[in-house]
Amino acid sequence: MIYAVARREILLQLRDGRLLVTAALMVALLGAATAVGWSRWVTGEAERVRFSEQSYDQWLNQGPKHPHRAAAYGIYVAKPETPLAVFEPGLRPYAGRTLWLEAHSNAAFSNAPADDDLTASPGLGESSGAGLLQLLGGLIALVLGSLSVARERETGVLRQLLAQGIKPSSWLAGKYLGLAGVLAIPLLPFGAIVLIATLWVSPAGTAHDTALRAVVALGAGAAYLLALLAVGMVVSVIARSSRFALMTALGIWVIGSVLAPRAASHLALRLAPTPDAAVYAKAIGDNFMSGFGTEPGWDERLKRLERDTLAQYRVSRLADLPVGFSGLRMTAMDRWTIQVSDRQHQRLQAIYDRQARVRLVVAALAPFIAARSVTQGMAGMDWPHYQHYAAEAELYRRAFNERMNAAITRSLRGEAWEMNAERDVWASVPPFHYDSPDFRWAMRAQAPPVVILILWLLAALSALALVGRRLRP
Amino acid sequence: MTGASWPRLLAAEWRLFAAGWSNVLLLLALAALSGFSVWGGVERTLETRAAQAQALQAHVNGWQNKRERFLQLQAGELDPDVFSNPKRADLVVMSHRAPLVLPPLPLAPLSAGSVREGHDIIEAGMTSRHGRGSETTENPVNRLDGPLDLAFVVAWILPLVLLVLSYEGLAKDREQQIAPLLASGATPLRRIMVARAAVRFGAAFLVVGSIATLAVALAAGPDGVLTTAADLALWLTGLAGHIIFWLIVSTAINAQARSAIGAGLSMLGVWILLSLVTPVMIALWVSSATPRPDRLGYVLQLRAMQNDLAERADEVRAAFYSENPARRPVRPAFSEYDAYFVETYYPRQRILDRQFAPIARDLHTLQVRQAARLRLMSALSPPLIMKRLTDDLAGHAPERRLAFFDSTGAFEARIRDSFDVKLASRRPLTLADYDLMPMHSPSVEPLLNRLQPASALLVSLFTVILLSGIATGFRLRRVGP
Repeated sequence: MIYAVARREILLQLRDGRLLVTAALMVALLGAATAVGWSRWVTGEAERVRFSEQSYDQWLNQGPKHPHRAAAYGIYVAKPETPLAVFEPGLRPYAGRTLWLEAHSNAAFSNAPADDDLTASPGLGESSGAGLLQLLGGLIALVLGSLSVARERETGVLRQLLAQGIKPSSWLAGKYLGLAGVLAIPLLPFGAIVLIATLWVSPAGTAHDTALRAVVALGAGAAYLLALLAVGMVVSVIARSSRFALMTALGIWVIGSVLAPRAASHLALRLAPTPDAAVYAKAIGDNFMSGFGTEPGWDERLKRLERDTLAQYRVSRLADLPVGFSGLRMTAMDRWTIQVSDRQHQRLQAIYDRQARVRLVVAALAPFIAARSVTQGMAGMDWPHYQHYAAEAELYRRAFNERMNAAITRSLRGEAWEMNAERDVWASVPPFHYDSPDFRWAMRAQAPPVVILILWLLAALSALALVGRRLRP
Repeated sequence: MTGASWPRLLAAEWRLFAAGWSNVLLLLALAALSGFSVWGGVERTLETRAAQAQALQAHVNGWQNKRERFLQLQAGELDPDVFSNPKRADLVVMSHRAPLVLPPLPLAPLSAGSVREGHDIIEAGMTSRHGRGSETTENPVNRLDGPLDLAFVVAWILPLVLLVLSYEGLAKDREQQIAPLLASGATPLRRIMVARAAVRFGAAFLVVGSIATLAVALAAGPDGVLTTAADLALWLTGLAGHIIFWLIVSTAINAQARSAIGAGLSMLGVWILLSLVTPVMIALWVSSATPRPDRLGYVLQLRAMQNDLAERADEVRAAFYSENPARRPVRPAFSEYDAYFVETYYPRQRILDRQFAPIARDLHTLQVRQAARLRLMSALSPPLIMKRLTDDLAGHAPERRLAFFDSTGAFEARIRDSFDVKLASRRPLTLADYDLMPMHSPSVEPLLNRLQPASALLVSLFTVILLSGIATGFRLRRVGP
């Protein structure tokens, strides 16, 4: 019987012109978003590869200069994107595309497209395939669900069905499956296109990883839509009129999908405010000069370095050293800077973690946030992926800085500072190579939202089963 | 047959409207959401103002301290060491940066805009500001969904509230067979529908308008209330137009719909079309017609210039001195560092700025072009008109950022004119030089700057209202029970 009800539901919905128009609109929108996403990804990746190569080329061909000035000139790197970024650009507009790796400060993202592009956030900020699917798909699921039972009740069909002795739970299950099938008609081909397209453009050796990521992303989207469909049906069973059911569903959608993401960010910033860049830089500067805990500040460290170096080389003046003291000083300064900035960075990271926890709490109430988080994570366009890239780039920065300082120490004698290094020193720094984290890493980072989505789906289906038992005409 | 007078009709409809608990509840929710969003806006504006005042004051104090040290040196109370001689321009002004601020406009509490933190303070000095990184501690996740500000509430949530308040207009009366009764009365149905729309207009406008006015007045403080009046009037006009548009849509749908649910779904469809689909389509079109600036290209260009200038260091230095012979050093370098920074680094920075400033300006010019296109295309989506209007009046128009960029250039030139020769020639600073440091004090921006883009958007909005109003008016003539 469940199958028969589901089949009838699909047929009825397909006869409804409004649904066909909505589905056509949805497919057109997703198609347009995918086409634009594709074009942006292809252009962006070509731009990124060219940029990274040219930046390294500029590093190699910077001419003779002091190694510290070369390190201050630095190298730019740009984060690569997985093919899934076609459908889910995630943080791309806001996180910045490039990292300037230079002598003085930790690698930080800059050149965010949204800083230059007014069209990056025209409305609700959704122009990606995944974003539109979850935003509009969620609305359609809720509306379909909310009208499903209430309208049958208003038209008297429900009374007739129950009078015929049909089991309410089977009828509801059939209706649910039918509506899920209706949702799947425009969305399944979209999912198939996502999967095929991403596998097609995946770099060699990453197809397996990309496929797993795509499957989880699509699964998260499906779980979200199925949960909302069940929520809509629960509302429909409880509501006494289809008007009330529709307005309630609309309210749930507005609160859960439109307001909640903004409210989550607002709350996160209020409960765990991020220090502004000037305050953060000042804290690093203060720690550098004055030290922290039992760690002495820079002046004390410099004196100690001078003392120890003189003792090591058994000379009484820095000028008599057989190595360049400025190189040793730069090395010590960089190590101390790293220690200080790592300490501040850990504090900043703790703030980011608290913000993520606040978002997670809101996500537990509004699964839209969880669904977005999972698709962004699987596309490699979430904050953990960006931070992973920045951390790797930071290690590379530290290594090349060490090489530059070593070149100063090797080439100079005593207290001298000025010198020029040449291409051979620049060439001792290899190009930055980055391996994106694998699927398991991405899953670990996204485990909480995945659990939230599963719990939501189970809870919504359980609630539907529960209210279904007490279904009244 | 004229029926009840307008005041009596409006009063009756108001009583009916106010008797519905769901209407009151919805208005309360709208008030709470608007209040919450502008509360954040007022806080943000006051914090921005305080941070800007603090930055300006810190600069004044910092410079004053340097001046004090100079006086102490002159009085023989200070023993200058190698790294802190207040007479040496390379130590005093080479790395000194003076802040310029872009103060919040009167309507700043209404919109947070989409720019990142710290955009409203730029530092200018003797060295180029273009080569510096734009470090930020912001968590981009918090920017991804956009701010919860009044611009968002008014553009996207308010129409939904109006939808719920008005979707039943006449359709519910038809369903309940009350419409024939109403039609048989002396008051025409169209007049009843207009009265219902007017009541909803009054309620929504009163709630949002009064909260916005209160927020703007709170942020302005007692001295600034008068200066906000014109901006506020413009925005309230936009708000009124925005509400009127959605009520026209609702009235038109209700004139046609046979059931409340049908009317509700149709209005939801119109909302999706105008609030979600059209803005995305407009954004896609504008971004392809006016592509975003190639920021990565600019970075490479800047670095290529830096490399080129470094390789031609001797030539660059010679050109720098021949351009103004007074810059030639009058004494040898104090140290290796001083030799590099004064004779090599500084000339390169000046030339780099001269070459790169027009390119950096292009970034802003492109945004101005994008904004012009967006304003033009906004005519297709009233929510987008309202969003742009609020953003523009709140001070997030790219034209304003371009003007800020230009004024930064002018201010930077003043600083450089004051210290260029002393720094480049290693002539000692005097007390008069210390008094030359320009201090930035933000000027009041004329309303005219905002009036032009705002009036273009308002013209678009009222054209849309006029056209949809005329069409609905014709339909209302034939409205039946």
